Amino acid sequence: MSTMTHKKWQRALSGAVLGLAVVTLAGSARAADVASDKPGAILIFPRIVVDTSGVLTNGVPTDTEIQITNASNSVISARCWWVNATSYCSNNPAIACTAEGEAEPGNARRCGAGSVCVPQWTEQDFRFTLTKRQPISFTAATGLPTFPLADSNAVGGQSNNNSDQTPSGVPAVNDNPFFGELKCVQVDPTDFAPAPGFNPSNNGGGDLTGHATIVSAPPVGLVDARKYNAIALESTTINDRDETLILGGDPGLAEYAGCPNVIQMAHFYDNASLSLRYVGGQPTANDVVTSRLTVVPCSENFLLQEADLGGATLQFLTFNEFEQRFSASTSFTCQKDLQLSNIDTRPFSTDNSKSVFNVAVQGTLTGQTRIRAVSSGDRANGILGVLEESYTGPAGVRTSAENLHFTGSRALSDRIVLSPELP
Amino acid sequence: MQKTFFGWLVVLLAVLCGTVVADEVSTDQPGSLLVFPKVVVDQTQDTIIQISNATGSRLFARCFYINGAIDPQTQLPSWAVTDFQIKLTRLQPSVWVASQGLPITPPDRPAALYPGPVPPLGAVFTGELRCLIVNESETPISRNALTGEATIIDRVTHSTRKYHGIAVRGLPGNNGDNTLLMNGVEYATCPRVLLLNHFFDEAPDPILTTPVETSLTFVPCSGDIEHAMPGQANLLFEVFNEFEQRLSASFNVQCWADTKLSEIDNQSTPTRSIFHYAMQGTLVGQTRIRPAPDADTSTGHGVLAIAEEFRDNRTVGAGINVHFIGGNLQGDVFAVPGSF
Repeated sequence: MSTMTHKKWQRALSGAVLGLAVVTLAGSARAADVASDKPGAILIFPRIVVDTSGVLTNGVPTDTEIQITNASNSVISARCWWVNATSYCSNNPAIACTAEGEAEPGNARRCGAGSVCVPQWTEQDFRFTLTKRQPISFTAATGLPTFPLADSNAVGGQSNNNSDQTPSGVPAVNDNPFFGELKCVQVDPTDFAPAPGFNPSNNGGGDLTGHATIVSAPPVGLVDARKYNAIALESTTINDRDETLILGGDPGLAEYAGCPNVIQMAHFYDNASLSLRYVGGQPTANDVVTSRLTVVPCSENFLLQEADLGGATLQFLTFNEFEQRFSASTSFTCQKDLQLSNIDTRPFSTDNSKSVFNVAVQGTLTGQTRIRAVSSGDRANGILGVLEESYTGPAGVRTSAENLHFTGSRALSDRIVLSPELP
Repeated sequence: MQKTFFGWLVVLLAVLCGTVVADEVSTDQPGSLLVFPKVVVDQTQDTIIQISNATGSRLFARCFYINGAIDPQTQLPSWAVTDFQIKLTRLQPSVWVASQGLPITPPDRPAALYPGPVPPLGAVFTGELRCLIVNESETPISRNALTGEATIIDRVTHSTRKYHGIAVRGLPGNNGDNTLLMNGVEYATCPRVLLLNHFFDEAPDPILTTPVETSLTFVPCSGDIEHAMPGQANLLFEVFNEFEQRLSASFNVQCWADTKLSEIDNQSTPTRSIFHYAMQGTLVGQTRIRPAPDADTSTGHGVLAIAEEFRDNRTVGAGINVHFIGGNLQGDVFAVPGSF
């Protein structure tokens, strides 16, 4: 090989290596996760309940405590949306209802004859700024009109005021009863445009964490409280700062982690009976276990609102302890919140024993159910959710909430379109 | 020119290495090693264990109950280990109550569909459960298939506190020996920082107005069952209240620890604890927990944890999975006994 040829060869090789390095750098957006145990740039609370008079919660006043924390060592801001999915009677938009409550034999119907319970969908947005590592808490029924550092008189000069000097605030939910979700998006504190996370120790994936605790407090009887972690979507660190957030899909375009391909939940089949309680050292009557699933769509359009609610057809595969498999399906828009046995039967309790999610059909105490949302032509239609498991015994009801397991990702993306920041 | 070429090669390798995201433990996704930090059986409490196979093929797992109850002779955790094996067919769920286990003879199904037997736990057990995926010859393998949940039942107050088992993901570099390296090569590393959002102890619940209390349970990631040597960790706590004020504390974990928040730094006068509402003056706080690294090059000191939150005079509770940030800088080692 001549010296000239050798140099050309080396030059070509160096160029190739350089090119590969540039391509690698350009495509080096980090692999983002959807997780309930990590901070993220989008925070989703799938189930928020406020019913302080208990009209739709069996007479038990119910409210939700929310905790949101800045997991970074920088000042961060967030734009949030209460998504109201409360249903109302078709003949009276002032009367809230639930499809299950209206259908249950023996219940006094709130909507009256000839009227049906119709889901609605409205959103209410707000924004706030958190100082370094700051935690806040509030109840959905009261909100947080004044933040802890609202007066800017902290020793270190920290302030919860936004960069435009407007005060941070969380309004109370705009309905009571209220059934819905809360979504928060981390934004740049200087201009409130969507942004990746600030803290390198969080890998730039986002700095928001949160919990929700649904508390039911009857005037007499057992208090019930169930808590779940908010679900966080990490930023990929790619972000064009526009108002359309791209969740998953093409790695060159995805701004946030995509929603999971399959959601997996391990659960007791409805009406499973367990002997777990003692009174005075003696076993009492068995507890009956029922579970309630809440799912929300990953795609939501806060700009067009009712013109684009999000939602999907959901396919369920449930495996019992004998590895026997059954399937079911349902569809939803905006939010779906129902007892497992009502997924494949009508929304009242008398036919629950015919459901594939009922112990009477399955014959085993527990099952594993895999939930897959069916994609549409251009949208992944991913979903997220939580499960509430209630143990009903002679003394009353005790409930625990749990996050669901995630598996896989999708080739298509979901999109969240934000409502505009008004000047 | 050769220098230029190799220079760019180094840059490329550095970029490639930098883009590898370390696998971390998860409570959302299946793993090869499943850790339930708190399993309790005593006169008033019991625990329901649920373990599922999240994949479409049969799996085998070795499980270890590790009792962290205080030995009355030594006043140290006993670290007594009971092991058993389970097998799960494709996508099969399983459930048992810790005090009862699963009997030797399948009560309701053919042996091929029976995950057990599982030994019942004795009258007093406060410790952890770990399950490790192995092949048919009991060799540890990286197959991320296990998910699980534990529900602690209070037989008297009737409260239920449920949390997810913490899944440690198996990685391609698993050499199949009985010394499991949680170093990002064989298994995912334990977290560098644990993040707990909590109410300060005795803070009034915003809805009920009664005091809220929180307990934390820690288990070291490292441990040597073969030589009966429990792991230990020195934990550093940074607590931030709603005014961004920061206070710190430390705590030592040997084998297993379960402590009320305000007893971490002050067992005699909880109101003087930095985890107490009387001290902090705000309802909620963020606590960052970091295992202190040391000069030990053979094993790390990572920990896993869950929290429990009690309301209404401790009559109602909730289990909480804490948040994780990053991978531990020192790899942990968990050694299991081999067959003999």
